[in-house]
Amino acid sequence: MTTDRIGAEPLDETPDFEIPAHVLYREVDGEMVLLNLETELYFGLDAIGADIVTRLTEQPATAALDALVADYAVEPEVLRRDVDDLVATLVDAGLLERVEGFG
Amino acid sequence: MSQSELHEHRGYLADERKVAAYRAALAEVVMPADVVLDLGAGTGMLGYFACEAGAKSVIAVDRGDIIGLARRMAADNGYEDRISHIRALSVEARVATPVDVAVCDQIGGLVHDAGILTCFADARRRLLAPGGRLVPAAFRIFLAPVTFDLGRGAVEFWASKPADLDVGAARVVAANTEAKYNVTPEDLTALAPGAEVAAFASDHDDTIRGSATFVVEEAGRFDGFVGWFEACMSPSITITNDPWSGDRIDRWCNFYPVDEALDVGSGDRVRLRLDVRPRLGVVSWSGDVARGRGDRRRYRHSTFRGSFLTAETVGTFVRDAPIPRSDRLDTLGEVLHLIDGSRTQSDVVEALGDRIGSTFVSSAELEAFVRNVVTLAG
Repeated sequence: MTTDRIGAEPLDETPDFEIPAHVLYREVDGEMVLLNLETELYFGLDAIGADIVTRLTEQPATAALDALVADYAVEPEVLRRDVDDLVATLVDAGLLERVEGFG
Repeated sequence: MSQSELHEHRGYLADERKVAAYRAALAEVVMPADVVLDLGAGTGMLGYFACEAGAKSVIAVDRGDIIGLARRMAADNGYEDRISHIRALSVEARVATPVDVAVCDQIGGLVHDAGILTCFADARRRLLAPGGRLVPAAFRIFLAPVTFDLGRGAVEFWASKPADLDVGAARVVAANTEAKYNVTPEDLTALAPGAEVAAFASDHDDTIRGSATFVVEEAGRFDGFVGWFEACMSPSITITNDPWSGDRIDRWCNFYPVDEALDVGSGDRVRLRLDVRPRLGVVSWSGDVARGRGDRRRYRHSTFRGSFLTAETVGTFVRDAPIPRSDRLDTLGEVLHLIDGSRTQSDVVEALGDRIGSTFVSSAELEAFVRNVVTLAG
């Protein structure tokens, strides 16, 4: 299993993760549905999962983690572990990838 | 049969250019003693042409009630002894022996959107003899960036507050919809010449992917792309719905809008990447527009974003999510259990009568539910 631990030093304001071109995604009633065109499989994310993915693909991971800790009032280590697990799952499923050039 | 269905079939028969092309192509392709499969047969016209061409027999397949009319018309045209009819979806049809030729007219506006690829791929796997022939045999698809008032209007309508209501939520749906338009050259302005984006065999139901870069020749507003096909019917016959072709058949074209209309000038570049997934029924179009120096606008669209999805229906797509139980599913199980070869629909409805008022709001709804189960299973 690929492990994509997030939270390394950001290089700039570029997001550390992106949804690949072969993945179509959309919001549905606050949740997110992703369609991996390569595997032809649909994936559903609940509202929290959708929020995490949205933030990780819109800002650097460190900033996203800080904002999530503040908004969800959760211990940083607990949040980091949960986010790491989600990211690993999504990367393994080809639904999320590191932005090219990110260290 | 509804008036619109009958009108649809009238259109298929009335398109003289397309009808002549199928007739001539089948005359070229069909050999004496061939068995021909007519998929999505409708009124059975293509089967009659196959018989004219010398086919030993034709198997006409259609899921619709029109199969009854086709049976009558086969007799009226003197082919009742050579044409048999199967009421089924093309992908459900079974034949006793592999056929020599399969023919189909479900090409839609850009090949993937009316089912021919799925039908032919299935026919190739199950129904067609080795070396069997398909009519059409291959396709090419083309797109061109256009100014298209009608298509732009269909997107912007939703932002226009009709009836003083905010219906803007539908705009993203409209901007991600593969829209059908019967267009003439007067309706469209091509900003750049059309480009071939993909070419493929007519039984190709896997990914169709292509790209093109258009150099704008005519300044104007970039609203999106119009797409058309060219079908290779036989070695010497092709048909097209190219809106600018004088030989076009009477078929709509597909329009792929971009969210934001952009003014472009001569020399600007529009890049397109098209991705068609026939099995999923999903089309994506993305790319960018480079205007002048340094102004690059990206766009990314798909019919997936344009589909109506709700939290209730998402679950039907996500295959690794548990299927929630429901009263209706439980009732379905009971209906299947009650169907034992002797009970009638009325018997089944009566046995489930205590569900009225809880699972079903009325006896009519329960009856419709049972009828749907029987129809589907049948």
